[in-house]
Amino acid sequence: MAVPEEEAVSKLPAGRIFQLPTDLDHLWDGLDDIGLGLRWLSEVKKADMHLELGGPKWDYKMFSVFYIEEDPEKVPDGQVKLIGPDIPEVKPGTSLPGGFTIRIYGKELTQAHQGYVSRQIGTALQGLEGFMLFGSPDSLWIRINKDVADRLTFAKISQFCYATAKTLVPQVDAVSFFWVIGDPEVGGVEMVNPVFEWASEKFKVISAKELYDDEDVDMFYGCTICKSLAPNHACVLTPSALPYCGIIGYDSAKVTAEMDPEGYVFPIPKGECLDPEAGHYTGVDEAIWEKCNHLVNRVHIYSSIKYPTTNCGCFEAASFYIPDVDGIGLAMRRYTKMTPLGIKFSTLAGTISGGAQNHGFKGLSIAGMSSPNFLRGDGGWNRVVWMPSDLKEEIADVIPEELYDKLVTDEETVDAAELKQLLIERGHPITEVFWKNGEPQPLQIPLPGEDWPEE
Amino acid sequence: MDDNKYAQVGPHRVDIGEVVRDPRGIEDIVKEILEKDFVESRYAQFGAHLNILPDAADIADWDHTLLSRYEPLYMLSAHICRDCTSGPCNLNSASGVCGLEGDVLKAKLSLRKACRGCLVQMITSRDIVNYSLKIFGQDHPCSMGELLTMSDHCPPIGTLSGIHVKSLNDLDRVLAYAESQLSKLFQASFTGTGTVNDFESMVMHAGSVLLLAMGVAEMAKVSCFGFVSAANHQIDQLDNFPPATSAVGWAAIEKDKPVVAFVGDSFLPAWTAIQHMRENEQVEAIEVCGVGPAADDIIRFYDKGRVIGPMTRAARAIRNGVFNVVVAGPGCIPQDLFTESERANSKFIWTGPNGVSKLKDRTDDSVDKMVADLLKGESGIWIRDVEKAGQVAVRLAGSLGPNKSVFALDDQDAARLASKCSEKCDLCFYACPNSLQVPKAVRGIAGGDWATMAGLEKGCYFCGKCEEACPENVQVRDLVVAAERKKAEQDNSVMRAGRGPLPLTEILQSAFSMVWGNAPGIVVLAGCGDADRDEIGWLAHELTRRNCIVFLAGCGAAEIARNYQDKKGKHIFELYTSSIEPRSLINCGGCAAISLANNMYMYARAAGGIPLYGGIPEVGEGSLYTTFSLLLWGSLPERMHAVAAGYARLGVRVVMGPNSGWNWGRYLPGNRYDRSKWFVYHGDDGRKRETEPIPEHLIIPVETKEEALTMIPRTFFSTSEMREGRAARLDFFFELYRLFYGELPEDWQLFIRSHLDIPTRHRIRLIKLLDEEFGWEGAGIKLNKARNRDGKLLTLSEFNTSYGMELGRYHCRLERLLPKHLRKKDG
Repeated sequence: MAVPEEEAVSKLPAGRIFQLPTDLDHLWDGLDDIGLGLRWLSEVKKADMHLELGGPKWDYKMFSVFYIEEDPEKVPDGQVKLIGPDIPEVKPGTSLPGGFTIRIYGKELTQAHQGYVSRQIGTALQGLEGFMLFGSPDSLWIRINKDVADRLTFAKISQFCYATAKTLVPQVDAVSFFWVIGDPEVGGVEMVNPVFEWASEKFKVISAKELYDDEDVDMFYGCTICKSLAPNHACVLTPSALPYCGIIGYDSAKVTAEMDPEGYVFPIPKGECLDPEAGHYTGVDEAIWEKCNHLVNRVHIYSSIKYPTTNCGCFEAASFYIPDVDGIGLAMRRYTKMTPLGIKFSTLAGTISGGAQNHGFKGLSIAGMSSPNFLRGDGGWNRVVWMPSDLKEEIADVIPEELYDKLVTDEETVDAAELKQLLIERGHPITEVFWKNGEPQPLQIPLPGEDWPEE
Repeated sequence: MDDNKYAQVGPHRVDIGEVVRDPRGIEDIVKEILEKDFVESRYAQFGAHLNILPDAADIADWDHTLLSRYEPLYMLSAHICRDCTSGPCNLNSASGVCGLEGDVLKAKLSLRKACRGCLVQMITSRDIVNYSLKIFGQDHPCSMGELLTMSDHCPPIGTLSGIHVKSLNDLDRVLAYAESQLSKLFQASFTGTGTVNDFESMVMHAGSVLLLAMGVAEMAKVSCFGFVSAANHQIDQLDNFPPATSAVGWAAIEKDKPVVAFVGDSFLPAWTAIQHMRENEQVEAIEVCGVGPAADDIIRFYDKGRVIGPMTRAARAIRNGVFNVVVAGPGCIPQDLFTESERANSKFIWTGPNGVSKLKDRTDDSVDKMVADLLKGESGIWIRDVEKAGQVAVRLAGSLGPNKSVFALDDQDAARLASKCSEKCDLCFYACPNSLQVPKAVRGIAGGDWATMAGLEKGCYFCGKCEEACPENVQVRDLVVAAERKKAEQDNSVMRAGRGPLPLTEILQSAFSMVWGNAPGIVVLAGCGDADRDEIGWLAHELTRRNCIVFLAGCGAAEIARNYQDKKGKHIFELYTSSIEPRSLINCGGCAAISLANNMYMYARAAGGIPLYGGIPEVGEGSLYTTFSLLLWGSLPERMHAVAAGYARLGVRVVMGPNSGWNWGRYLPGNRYDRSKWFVYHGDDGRKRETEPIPEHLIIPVETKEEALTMIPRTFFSTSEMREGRAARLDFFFELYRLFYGELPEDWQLFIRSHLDIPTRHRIRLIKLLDEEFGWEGAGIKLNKARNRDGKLLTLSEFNTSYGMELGRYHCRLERLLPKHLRKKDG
């Protein structure tokens, strides 16, 4: 696909071109007067706003596309093209549509680096003084504070992204930027729309590349970020399994392990697959045995009941086995009321943290719930019976449609006996698939660290 | 019988006798901890070693571990010991009769100071517990809030004592333990023998005992007296909890109502008075103010309460003459409040256990009689019964009506007084402990200029040294108060009342902010509200706006509210969120809530399953590897000497300034040049590993607010930091150094383990600097070889296995906290 200037932008005004310093020693020159780093992450209130781009109130959009370009000709290094007004040139309090693209080229850069490079730049942008950034790439909400309006330009924001990419990712050879700001004087929404259409197509191409499954790769990754406090713990990352904290994805783990061999992310050759349903791999067992101080010898990545991965303490959510109904409940960290186990999430979290393998309990990330392998070894969504109503709302898109109304929430009951009754009344699939003669068949869960009886 | 000898932890049957030294009488406590709170994986790896109701010596192994790295440094001139009849002994020339060495005397004095610092809080906690027992009975349930479980249920009590408090009876028991510990420590500070570190270990124990006593008071407040608690609210409601609406300052007082002020450590007289007001529908008729810890407590159960000032300024507040009735009890520093009250024509009610001045004990008289006598002209009485004191105060205020005249000097009288000052004399300047320009300010008033005195007023401790020195007998403090009154109408701020405990579930939300460095660190900022008042507000703002998570407790919180406003006039508590996340400002409560502000208990618990109960060394070890400092600011009473030691024992780095540090004369600094001090035991093989000299100090003084701000990041570093966290903290460190010193810190290269540790914006430049000036090898964005501290040039992977910890590895400083299989066997 072509760069935006060639096709979608052919009818746009000429705009202005800026050249950024490309010499390593001068990458950061001129950025001293602006705060950089995640400590500057901030919200910009309407009253403090100099310029707003996109936002939930408007029917127009602000977008961004970061992508790896394979043709070096299309990426003039350090070039910034701006169509429309610059930040200091608009009236204070202005709201506009717009978009920007970052094109990245590197001889050794592959599409697998896309997620990592985007994340580095995207994260960095969150930490720019007076710059508020919310939303997803196809619908951004940016605000720029009045305090920085005379110090910040689109070229400077580009320079920050450029310097970040060049400093953090050695494989990056060239980066170009393109900004279009839909001021009515240069064409407004009508001018931005064709570029946005181009961008929408581009998003499809990019996201298609990210969709691959555990079978498509030979290498999984492990993370020991929490091991300094939970000595027995190590997380396993696969394309379909995120760590419980939800803060690092498979692609990022892959690049992190490459870039920092002394770091906390390590590769796990996945070895032979012994059980595809439960996610049982010989390589994972070996790696976890080594990293968990020879205390855990078997891990089922997709299971929370039998041989789940060990838990640190920082999981966003957790699943727990409810013996009374032979089903699984889910709860997230901010849920402070009772669960059908008769304990609160905080007690649950306290009990299962610290690096143990607790059969029946597993830390989870919210994002991980959308994985096709989510609890696959336990029977998938058909085994899930209960969750707090807030969580149900939050992950409504992820829950299979036919199951949605059959899931019980805290607003209906936190009592196991009532839960059982509700499942029967609603015809939850668990009553057919897992129960026998209309009665649950509770599993005898082994104690932490013990094995299940051979089947 | 056998049931009591064993506990079940997951699959493990645990012999209680192997977990504690002597299980007799405490079997039920140990069993409850092991079965209801202990994390199975922790047991499997580390076993269990609990200290239930311990003496100082039981935890001394951990203290000595800390003290061997952070060696006590004394700045005291004390060298003559007069502790026994054989003395005095001059320890400069030889050892004492008993063999006492000079530095040991200083350590003993440090312990004595810590014990003295515990006393008033201990008495206040005892009063609160005894009163609670009387009113609510020993079976009254104790809880800090519904959100809490055994694992986060008042850590300052459980961590030291090992007891899970469930009722007032339990609370009584742990407080009795604290009292007995304090007696033992006090005894040791006179007749004890031992090494410097033995005594400093006891100082730390005194700190833990004080934090426990504070925790006891906080537990009773929430359990029995209706104090607000964050743990009774949903976590997503805490971003504005409690709302920033509590009034601070003189301007909030309604002038057409009589004013009662409660002064001192205990809130009980205020609580009984307000109960009485509510019962008699007098809430709208009387203004209730507080000074000192009582103020911070009042606003936690009475939203109409006004916070006037810190305990250190109590005398001065009274001299303002605004209060009709002053109800006072003991506080952290000695002050002659009765004389001040009499001078200001306020009625004075003393509630302390011991008398004050010439006041008669009227406890057994009837309320009617006491009110009548005070109305007839008695200026003060002593009532040892808080209920009676509360009633007398309310009835008296109701009868007195609004204050007709404020005591402060008017312009004419002030000018007349000031004009007595002689041009040729600057004795008051030389007498002032803060070197304030007193003569200039006084002479200014003589000429009608109040601005100079208004500036000086902020830094005045009200010690009166200037008046003692003045040959013309100018009452300088009256002029100081007059200057304060001139600004009273503008003294109008708001704060959040204390929120009480920090629930584990809420803390978990912020855990990753620390790992990635979104928040450079956590600071507990406590001050007693003295020193130059603007400074503490400035510090709070500078730390919070740089994304630190800032907890407050004690009198300093109101002074912070008073001393920071943004350009648009917003008060600091309105600017920042009160839920635990980067860039938050969270007030835990009054002085005793300092015990709750230490959230390291919960980080250790959450991330590592570290047992809370009876586990000071475990929690301390866990905290040493996180990013957490205590900043004590102001002219601080001895109580804070014990608080600092109690925090330090829990692995929290303490920075203190600007002047109290010097007064205490004992620090625990680290020596970055002595490589033998900087090691840990590696969790993979149990071997010693050299680390970066971090955290560099355990208790360190600073002199200026700018120095404090550059010292804080230095104390944030830890050996278990991830790349992102280290880079973010270095960025924070570099930024502040550049701002105040105009250059890089002199030892920055000691913190670098890989190029990935260097903040992005500085990376290329600093790699060049390492290559050209420090003998490392690197170019562009990558380091290839590192220069070890022994001078050897190593590849990065060699360097990472010889200096500092590899990322994501367990390590510890106390050898017995290694996983079981790596520990040296006894004998």
